[in-house]
Amino acid sequence: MPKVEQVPVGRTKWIDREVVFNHDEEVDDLGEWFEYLDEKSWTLVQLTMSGHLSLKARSQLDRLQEDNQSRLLCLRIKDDRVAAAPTEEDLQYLSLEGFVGTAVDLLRQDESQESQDALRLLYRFHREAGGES
Amino acid sequence: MRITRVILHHWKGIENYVLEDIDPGLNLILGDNETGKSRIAEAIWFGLFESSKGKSTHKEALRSWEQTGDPKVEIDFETGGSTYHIEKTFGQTGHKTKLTGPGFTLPDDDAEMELASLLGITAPSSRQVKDEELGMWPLLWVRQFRSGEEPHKSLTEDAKARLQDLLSATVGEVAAGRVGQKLMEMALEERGKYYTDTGRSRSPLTEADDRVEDIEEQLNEASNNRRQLEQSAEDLRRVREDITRLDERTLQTSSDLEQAKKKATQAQSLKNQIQVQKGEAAVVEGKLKAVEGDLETRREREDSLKAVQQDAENTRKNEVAPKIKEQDRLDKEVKAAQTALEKATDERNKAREMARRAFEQKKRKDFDERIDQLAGQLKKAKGFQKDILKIAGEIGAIRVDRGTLDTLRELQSQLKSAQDTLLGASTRLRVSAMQELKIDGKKLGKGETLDKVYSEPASLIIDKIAKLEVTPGGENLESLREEAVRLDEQLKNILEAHLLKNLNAAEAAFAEKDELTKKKTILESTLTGMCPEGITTLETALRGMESERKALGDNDPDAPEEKEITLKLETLENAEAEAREARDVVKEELSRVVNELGIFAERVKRFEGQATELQGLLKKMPPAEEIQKAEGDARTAWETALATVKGLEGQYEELGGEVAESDAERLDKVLKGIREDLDEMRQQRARLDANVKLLADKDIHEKEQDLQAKLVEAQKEQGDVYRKAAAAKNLADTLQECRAASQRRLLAPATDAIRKHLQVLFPGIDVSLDEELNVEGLKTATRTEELVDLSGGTKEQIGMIVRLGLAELLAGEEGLPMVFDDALTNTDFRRIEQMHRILFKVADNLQIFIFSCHPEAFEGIGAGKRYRLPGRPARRPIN
Repeated sequence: MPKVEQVPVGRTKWIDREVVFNHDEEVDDLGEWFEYLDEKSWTLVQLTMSGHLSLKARSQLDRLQEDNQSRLLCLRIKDDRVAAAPTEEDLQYLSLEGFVGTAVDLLRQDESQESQDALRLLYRFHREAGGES
Repeated sequence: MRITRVILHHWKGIENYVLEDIDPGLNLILGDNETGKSRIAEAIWFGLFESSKGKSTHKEALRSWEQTGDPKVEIDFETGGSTYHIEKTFGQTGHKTKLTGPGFTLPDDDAEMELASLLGITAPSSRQVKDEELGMWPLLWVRQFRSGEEPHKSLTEDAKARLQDLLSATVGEVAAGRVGQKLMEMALEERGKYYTDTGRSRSPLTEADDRVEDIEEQLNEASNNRRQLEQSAEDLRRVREDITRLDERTLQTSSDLEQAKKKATQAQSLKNQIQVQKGEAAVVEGKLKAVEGDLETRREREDSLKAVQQDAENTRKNEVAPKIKEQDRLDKEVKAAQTALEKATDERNKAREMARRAFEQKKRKDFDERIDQLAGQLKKAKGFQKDILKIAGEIGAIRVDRGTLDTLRELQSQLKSAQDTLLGASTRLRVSAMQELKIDGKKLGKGETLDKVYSEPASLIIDKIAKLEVTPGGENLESLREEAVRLDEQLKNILEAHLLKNLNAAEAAFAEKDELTKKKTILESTLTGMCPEGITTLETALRGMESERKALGDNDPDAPEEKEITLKLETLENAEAEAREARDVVKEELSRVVNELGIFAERVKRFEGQATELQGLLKKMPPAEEIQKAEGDARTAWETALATVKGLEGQYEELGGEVAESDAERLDKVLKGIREDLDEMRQQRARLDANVKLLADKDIHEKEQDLQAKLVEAQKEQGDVYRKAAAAKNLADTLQECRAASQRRLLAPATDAIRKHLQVLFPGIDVSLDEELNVEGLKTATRTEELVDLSGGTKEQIGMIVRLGLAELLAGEEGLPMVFDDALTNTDFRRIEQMHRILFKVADNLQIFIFSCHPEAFEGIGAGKRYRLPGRPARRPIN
């Protein structure tokens, strides 16, 4: 029987990866996977993601994507099936005073994707602004 | 906090000055320019906020050439229920600070620290203190030339924070703080990446849209190319099939054309033979029809002759004979009727002569009666005429006319009036006898009276006792008497001229004359009615009638009565008319019969003429048997010719008839069309071949698939960008809405505090504050006017009112001092008077210091304490 062996013939590397999130910690795992990729500037990644994450983890995933967009030759992401639902911890983190707290309540009450995305964005801004978690 | 006393030493030319008994409310410090108002305000500022340490320029400026010591300020104040004394000395030597409070005295830095703590400011250093280090105090302190500044420029972050804390506490709502502000900034920045302030899309969105649109255009073009190739290939296949089919059709049609041409030649030959035979058959048919016509004509004429002969006989027997009998009868009747008529006419003529005699006799009688009547009338008229002439004579004898009578009446009236006047001028004398006496010799018994009227002087002798002289009237009595006499004479003259006795006689004569005139008028009217044209005409008419009567001759005594003869004549005339009518009826009947007889005779004559004509025609024709034989021969020849034509037509139809002839022509045209189509198809095939080859070389399918993949990717990226943009917009919009709502609630106490003062100057107008407590402007229910657009005076007033309102919030129940150095310089007196009310009111909670060089502007402010600075700085010794 002839033996077939994979022999790289070009320098660019094509990676197609699917990730299903069941726990927030899996975002850390994905981060490590990105870290250990060789020759990032010659690598093209198509990342298809799905599953459930907390706002905190979803925010972490957003940052991870943004960081690697510039590091990889190409990063194509399909993340529209990743649902980000606020956990008790998220809500505690977002229990802000004044009009921001009112805005959080309004966005939580609206179940549209637009409002959920806005809530996620607010969560991220809060973290970037140095809000205590 | 309230200031109770201020003492200045060696302060920029002011050697010593004390503000004592400072009012806890409203204090007014007045003085001309250069008298030290601002220096006192500055001293308080330095005493409270500047450090005594250091020798910076602004502190050096406190000294003056004349002063004998270092600048020093002492301030007594109360806060938190305690009393404090601060004194600060500024200068090269001996500069120090001392704070004395309840049970303590602190020196220098400790004093500064404690004082800063009491005032809520940052402890001052040796450099000049800055506004942002002074908490709320810049808001409370309006320095010279700065009254027109927007009040929020004096609002430090610390003051804002304090106000917002106060507002939050008042409203019971927590402000978002710095974290909230930061988040808001980030949200706005994020939204700004995608949308402009006016809501238009920015580059991330437009670029994503452009990319999708660009790829869609490319894909559309590629798809069009691909479809074009497919269409060209399909067209080429179809054209090739059409060419093959047309080639086959060309061969078949050529073969069909050859056969059709042969058939057409044969059909043409048969057609010519048919035409020849049809011509021969037509000739034979003509002969047959001519013979048949002759036979028919003969039979018809024979039948007509019989019928005409029968009609003539019938007419003679049934119509003419009876009419001749009737004519004879009527002739006799006409003669009888004529005889009766002539007899009736004769009778009537006799009666008519008798009637004429009766009429003439009646005419004579009528004339006689009329002549008698006319003669009587003439006689009567002549009698009337005679009476009229007599009355006219009587009238003429009476000479009084209307004018004379009126003159007499007037004179009589004037005379009576003159006599009455004369009587009025007379003297009436009454003598009543008391005993018997004599007057002018006449006896007057006792108790009797004598009345006398004297119109002229007179005398009266009473017995022998007395003589009475009476002189009536006066000087006019004579002229009155003369007038009466004149009128009386004039009246008498006229009466005499008309042979009258008096006026009554004149009245009677005139009445008689009037009566006669009326009578004459009636007679004349009657005469005119009797003979309007006069008696002469009447006489002429009578003579005319007598002449005519004479012409009528003598009376006819044998003439019948007119009425009787008239009745008889009428009867005879009726009988004559009846006889004439009877004769005319019979005569008319006879005429009708004669006429009908003529018609019938004419009809018989016409029948006989027709019969003679038919007999002549029949004699000219061959016998009937000869014509029948010729008709049989012609029919046989015609049937033979028809059979020949039919045989030839059968052969023609077998070949296809007319179609065989046109088929060749048709197929020739079909073949020509096929060849033209074939040429066109071959050209089309060449073009499509070239097109397909050209398009096939372009990798169309690969390009389309590649673009489809790119489009999916671009649409995904577009969706991601729009999703991010929507999230950013939603977040920013939500935060803005929530912040605006929160601000409205939080700012309500501040705007309320300002509004109550603002209403005094600007009723119905509110101040608009933004979330940072910046004054945006004034607003009404419909519009907002920005602060920068307001006049200098209005800005100054708004600034003071806002400061007062916010200061009241900051002061709470503790109170705070506020300083206005040369404030309201741009405000007119009316507004200043309104400001007085506001300042007087806020002085319940705030301690107000107003420094001004316009005492007249603040006369009505109701200050608790007024300080009027002298022309030069005050120099009061300190004990």
